Amino acid sequence: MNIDKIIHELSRNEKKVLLSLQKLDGRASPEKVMNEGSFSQQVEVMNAASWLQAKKLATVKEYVKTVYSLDKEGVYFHKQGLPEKRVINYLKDHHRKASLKDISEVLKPYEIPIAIGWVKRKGWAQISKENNKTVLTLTEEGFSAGSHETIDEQLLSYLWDNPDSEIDEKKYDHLIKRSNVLKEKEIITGEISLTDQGWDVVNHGITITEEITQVTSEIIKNKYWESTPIRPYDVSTFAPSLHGGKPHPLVQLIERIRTILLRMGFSEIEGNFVESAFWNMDALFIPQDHPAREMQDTFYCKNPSSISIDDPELVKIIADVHEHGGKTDSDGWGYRFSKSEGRKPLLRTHTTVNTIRYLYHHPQPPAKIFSIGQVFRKENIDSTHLPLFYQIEGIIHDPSVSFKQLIGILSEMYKQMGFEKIRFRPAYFPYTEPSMEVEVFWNDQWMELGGSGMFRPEVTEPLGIDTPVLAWGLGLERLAMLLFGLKDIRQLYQSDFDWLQNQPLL
Amino acid sequence: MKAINFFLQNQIYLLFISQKYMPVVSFDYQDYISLFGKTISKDDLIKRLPMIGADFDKIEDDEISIEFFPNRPDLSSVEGIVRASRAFFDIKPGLTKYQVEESDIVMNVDSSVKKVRPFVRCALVKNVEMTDELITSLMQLQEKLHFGIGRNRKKVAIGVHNAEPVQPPFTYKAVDPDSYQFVPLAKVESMTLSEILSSHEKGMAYASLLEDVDLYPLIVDANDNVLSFPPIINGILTEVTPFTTDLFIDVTGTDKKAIHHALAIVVTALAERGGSVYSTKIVSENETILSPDLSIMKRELSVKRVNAILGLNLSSDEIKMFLAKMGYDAENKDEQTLMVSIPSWRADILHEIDLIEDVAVGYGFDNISYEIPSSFSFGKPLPHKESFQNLRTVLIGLGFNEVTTFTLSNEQDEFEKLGLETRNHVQIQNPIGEDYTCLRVGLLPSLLQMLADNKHHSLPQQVFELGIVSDEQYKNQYHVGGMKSSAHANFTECKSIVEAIFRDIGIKYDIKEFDHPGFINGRCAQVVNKSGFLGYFGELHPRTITNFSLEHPVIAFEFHAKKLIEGIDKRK
Repeated sequence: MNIDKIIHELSRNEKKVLLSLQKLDGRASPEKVMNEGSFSQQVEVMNAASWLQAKKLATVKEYVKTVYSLDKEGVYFHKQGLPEKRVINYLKDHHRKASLKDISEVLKPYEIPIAIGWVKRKGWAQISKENNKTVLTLTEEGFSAGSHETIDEQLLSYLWDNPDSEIDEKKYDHLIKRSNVLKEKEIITGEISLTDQGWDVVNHGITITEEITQVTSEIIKNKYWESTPIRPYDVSTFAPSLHGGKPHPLVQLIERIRTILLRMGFSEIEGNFVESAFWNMDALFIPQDHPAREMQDTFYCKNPSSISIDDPELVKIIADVHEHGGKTDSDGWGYRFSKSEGRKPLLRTHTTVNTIRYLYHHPQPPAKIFSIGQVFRKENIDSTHLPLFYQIEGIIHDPSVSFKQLIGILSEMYKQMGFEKIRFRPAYFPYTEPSMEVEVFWNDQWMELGGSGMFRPEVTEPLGIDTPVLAWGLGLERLAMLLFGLKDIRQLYQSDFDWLQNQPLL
Repeated sequence: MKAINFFLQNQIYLLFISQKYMPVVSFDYQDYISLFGKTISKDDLIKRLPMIGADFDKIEDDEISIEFFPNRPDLSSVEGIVRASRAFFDIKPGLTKYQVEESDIVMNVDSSVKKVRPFVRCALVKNVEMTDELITSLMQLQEKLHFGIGRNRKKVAIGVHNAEPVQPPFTYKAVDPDSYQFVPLAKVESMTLSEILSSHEKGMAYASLLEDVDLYPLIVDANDNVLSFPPIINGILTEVTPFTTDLFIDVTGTDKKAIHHALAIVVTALAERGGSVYSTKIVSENETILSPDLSIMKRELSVKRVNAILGLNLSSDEIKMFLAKMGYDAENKDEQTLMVSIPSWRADILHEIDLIEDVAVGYGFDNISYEIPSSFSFGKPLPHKESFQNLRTVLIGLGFNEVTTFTLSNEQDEFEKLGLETRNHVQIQNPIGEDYTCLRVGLLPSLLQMLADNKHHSLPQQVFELGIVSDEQYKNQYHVGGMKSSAHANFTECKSIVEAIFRDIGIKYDIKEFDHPGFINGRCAQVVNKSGFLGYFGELHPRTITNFSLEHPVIAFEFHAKKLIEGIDKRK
């Protein structure tokens, strides 16, 4: 321990508290320290004490104490005298003897029994019957009590001057018990005491010198700093935490991926949440009896109730493809296609619906596009499932592209996202063939992160496209959970403030 | 292993189609080895099998569970997996052929089934040794086929019978629900068909498949004994026991192709276990066919196309070799064209492209090298997204924390709690619960909910979202909304914030009075510019605050983000 360094970093108030404690035998209440050190406010003492506690030079303990003040009767007694005192003063002035009726001149009616009781108990007067009248006769004891201030009166004056003071409860027990004389209250107070280390510091010797704590513009301008040292701080001590505004981690991740894709030459598109089953499913060669199309997996709309498809020719072509392959070389699914099924409105289940609409409007290659958007699946909410999530998806439509290039592009893209080691595995999706699963090596494990493939001829040929279209996609939340180390996916959408404020930027 | 499991169980957001349609097939490693006929270490198997097109679900000692793709029902049993891996691991490449003998069993198809469940195919498999492994595998296969290719028995239902107690010829017909009664599996008393549907577990589970028909399908033998009440349940008469040696199999359904593939998959799986397959005659009004039909299908494959699609430079011999690894036979039709023989159990070959994928799988995805296209392109962002960045920067600078909240909401939050009249909006027909019955129409309820969820944290709290809401034409619109909750939040502070936003992104605007029932009357304003109404801001009414279970003053703003940025003065 470097005592000189510690002393060097003590503030003026801290030094004053230490020195006061030294004089008070190392232990005292904040009030006492305040008086001893001539502080103007107790809060200065407490601030300094808590810094001393942080520096392990003092400890601050809190405890509850009972304090007393004058109650209604107490104030009255203080001003008018105690009822029994008023009785003996009257007796003194009236030849040491008076009737009950006489003394009621100086007492309120309800005070008479109280006064009689107390003079009797204190032995200040004798009570007797004369001519059927109750008569009080002053004793010697009473006579002398009348000539000076009793301890009860001293306490009343003291509490008048010093409300909320601690008193000797045993000594004043009788006064405490008298109704409405004293009122008590419990207050929390502190006790500051020097630690061993604190003793070492004060024994080493502390001198209080003039120094600058807060540099002010006044001090700068009047050059006070030229003559007065500026107190150095202990830089390791606590500073309050501060929170500014921040981007949401998920949005940051989206922006990061957008940038990567734009850099790779992809252009961005977007679409609508509400789509027809035709564009979302039929156009992607998903058979109408596919389980993913059932009500338990896809959100259908009550309102709007139907969406008309504005290209009946295309509906016919796609119906043929589903039924028997139409003009493609496919066998088709071999079932009866329902056009009304395609008019059902739904919340898009994938962003591929944006892609397919784009291809419909732009059948001529080349095209390199991507979209990042929310999609919906009928899932109950728990730590790993949400009814909505983001999908990132892209295509390359170019006469010269091949499956081999899909591998090249995905390798490059995932590398840009920070996954150096990736591998590919066969996969199945109804509208791509060949299809491929992308796995990345992360935290010593291989993990599935996205799907990809080439659109099937049954998907592209009805749109008038006979050149290859490479497609790939991935779910954003999965990636987000990995990158942010989340165990509960809900944190992304029902974020806790602590998490938002303490999560470092990506 | 623990970490793997965590993620495997949580494979939630697989692209395109939900993971839950991936059938999981479980089998015993020792059983696999005895069928495979050669030793392959478990590690080696685990490493190589996924490259056929599979994913390990879990591995516990010898119990291996694999997810296969739903387009490959032939891989939904260990026998099918063994057959595919025998070719893929070069033990026995090419198409596996199975012997089919003829039997004299006849199945008469009555025309009454046409409108009920029109198609039936049958087979007889003799000399079957009913081991535990076979029974387990057969039950699993039946279940997977029913669920997948059978669309929960609607398209395909399979009945497996002990052939001994019944007498051919058999008849497949549609009958009155109360005209027949028999003892179904898992019962001891005979029941009518309607009783089965109303009180048998299986009957109740699948009754919906027959709800649109008056007559029910039934298979009976020469003595009118019931074999099966498809697609519901078999009779107890033909129950398969460990002592059964000859199996009679019926497959009924609504899709001729699907029942053909299902039967082929079942009988070849039994043949892999040593059963002898016998054909039956299916006799209907206008045709008689032999079933099972294990004949191969043929499809042409262009060498040029294979290479163009895959970006490889394979000779036709190499392609033949990779096809053989995938269980096909192929021969040259001419130099540039192959004729590929496709086995009867492959239900997934709709197009030449499906064969091309199998060439790639046979070649090995991990052997395909990396190539970047030589073409050049510029990436174009959506124009509004760039200006959105400015908007976000300004709000973050003003101390707002960005949040992302659900775009799904409910009418009570969107309208009622703000005191608004319900307007036309996107409503969900099959919501997951009453909290998420519609697409949101504004951001304020989402943000208020966010504050309510964080009530236990200290104030002030400042949040904003740039998110999508749905308009009256059911179209997506970008809105930007923000909120501050603090002990002293008031209109003036809100106005300062709003003016800072408009100033910093560079928009000329006017502020006018506005009536919004969610805000305090006289403490709400709208912002307009030359393109009209941009949005509003102000001090929320205590009623609104209370409706969202909050207790402190809240100021809020919400603007049309796209309209906002369209107003940016480009001249600067």
